[in-house]
Amino acid sequence: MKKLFLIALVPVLLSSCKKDLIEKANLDTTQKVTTQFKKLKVNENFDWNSSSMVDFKVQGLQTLTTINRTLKVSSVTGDVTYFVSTHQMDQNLETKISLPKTVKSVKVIYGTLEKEVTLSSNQINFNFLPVSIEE
Amino acid sequence: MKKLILSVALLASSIAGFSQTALYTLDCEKFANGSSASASNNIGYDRAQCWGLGSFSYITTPALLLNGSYSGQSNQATNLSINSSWIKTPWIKPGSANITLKHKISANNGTIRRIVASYISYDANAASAWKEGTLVRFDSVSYAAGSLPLNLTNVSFALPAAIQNSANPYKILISFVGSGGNSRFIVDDVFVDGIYVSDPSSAYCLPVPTIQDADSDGVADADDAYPNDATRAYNNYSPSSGFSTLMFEDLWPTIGDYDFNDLVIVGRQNVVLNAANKVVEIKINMKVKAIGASFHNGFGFQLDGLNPSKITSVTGTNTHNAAWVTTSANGTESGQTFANIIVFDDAFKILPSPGGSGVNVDPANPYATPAEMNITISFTTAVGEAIALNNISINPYLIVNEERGKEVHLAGFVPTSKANTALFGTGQDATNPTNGKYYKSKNNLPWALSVPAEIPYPKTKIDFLQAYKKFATWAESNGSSFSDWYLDLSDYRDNTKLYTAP
Repeated sequence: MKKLFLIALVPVLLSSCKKDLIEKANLDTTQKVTTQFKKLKVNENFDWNSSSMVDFKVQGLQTLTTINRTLKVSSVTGDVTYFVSTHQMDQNLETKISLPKTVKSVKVIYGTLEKEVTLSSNQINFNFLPVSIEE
Repeated sequence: MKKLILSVALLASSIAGFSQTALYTLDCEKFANGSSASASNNIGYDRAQCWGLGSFSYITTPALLLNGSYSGQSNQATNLSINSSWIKTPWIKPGSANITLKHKISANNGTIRRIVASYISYDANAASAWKEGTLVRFDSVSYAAGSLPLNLTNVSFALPAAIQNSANPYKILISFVGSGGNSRFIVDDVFVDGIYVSDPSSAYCLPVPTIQDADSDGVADADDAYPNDATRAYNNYSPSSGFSTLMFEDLWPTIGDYDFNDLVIVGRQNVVLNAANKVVEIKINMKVKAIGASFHNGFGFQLDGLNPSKITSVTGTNTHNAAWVTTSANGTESGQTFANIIVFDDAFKILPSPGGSGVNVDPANPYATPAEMNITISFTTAVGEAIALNNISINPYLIVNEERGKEVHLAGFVPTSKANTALFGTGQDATNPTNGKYYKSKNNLPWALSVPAEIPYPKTKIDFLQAYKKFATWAESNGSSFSDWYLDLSDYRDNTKLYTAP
């Protein structure tokens, strides 16, 4: 069953890379654009939603003491929060988050740990292995 | 294979509300649940537990191993600096037992090989993010050429009296230094007596902080959206700011003019969770912005898969005693399999026309300020009955001209149990529950659109594709191009085709 939050999420990725711009420009000039909605030719399985439900998976890390912290998924810039809840560090988590389809990467924050995660196969996979290594 | 935590002694006392555990012996064998043993996984696990391992690696070379399947290895010990290759414990409150470790030298060469033990105090004011203060070197063991330990050798260092059983956090630094040759230290089973006080959720593994929690719900005040309300903790807004937009065509099951302004609603929802991550309530702030229709359409939404009994109350809806609206005591629509909320029964009673045809779709007609509504749905939080964020899936729909069974949903969304299924497959509709196809036309076109941003809608009778210039390419590319079609980017919109408030 398809699911969606009534009010989806605000996209913030307003920039696109140069390559994308070139590709879009080529599309504009080489393809005839349909101008009447009723004449659109779309795939039978096309998803008309501009947001998608993304699997958010957290791999728990066994800890010596119980650690409960706030787990947050935000935009890479941190100004848009997509998900927030409490989480015990030694527990796994599997949930779904509604994200605009324009979102390709997110920031996952737990305590003061932060990781940027790129969406892969409509999934956000996060673990607690450290980013900061003292050398 | 040697396994897991050597000394995990739970103590009755606590620091900052956390139970305390003895630091485990660094045996190089542990790895995170869900992963498998490997040199990189094992060292990653120990680092995640706040061990510092500088210029130090884990090895599996059988001839070098000291115990089990993995041992540690220093850099070539050809530098006498204690910062050249080292093991550093997490922050601990030291006990009184000796530090012990197994070691040997990897090859019979080198002028000097030495292990140096130091302790480091915690300094909250230190410039470094790691907050390490004074380092005090307190013991060492040295080997000279000709007497290098080529076989497993145990070494023991007494913890200095100055830090034994201290209430303050310390790290123990064990450095592997030397000169000449190229041999390395092989190290295993490093035991340091102490209570673990590091915080693995801290990016720099600082000591566990004292958490301020005024309502004692377990969520720190700094993170708690309701720091003085133990029944609420987190707001999950979507979108984070601003509104999303729902746009409907209302002639289903026949097709209309595709201006997608027969009913235009913007809204923002907030799913409020308690500290146990259970849904306490959903607050929806919405505005009815336009009615490009002559039908008196209603609007509601279904919480897909959710038993109506999970809801304790609904406030903020605005119906007008229409006979077809029947509600249960908890405010949900009666007779439904899943929870349904009828938000309003007639859009014109929410946003009355100030004159002319429709409301806010023709610039020639008077403008009406969008009608704001605030819906609050409260949920049971009883043990065993409470629901999680994952259980919330909102499925909005329009009810055509107060004909209860005639629902218009977003493409792919299921009907409610009050939908008139006899209408499926009639007109241009190609809904087929057997193959999971809902509310798409025979040409796979929708009767409703949802966009995760507040966007303007076309003026009356203006085809949507004339206003949104990248929409057609997005749809016909199966979503691979211009997934941002709704943004206000250069050449994305024809603003002359869009309705703007005066």
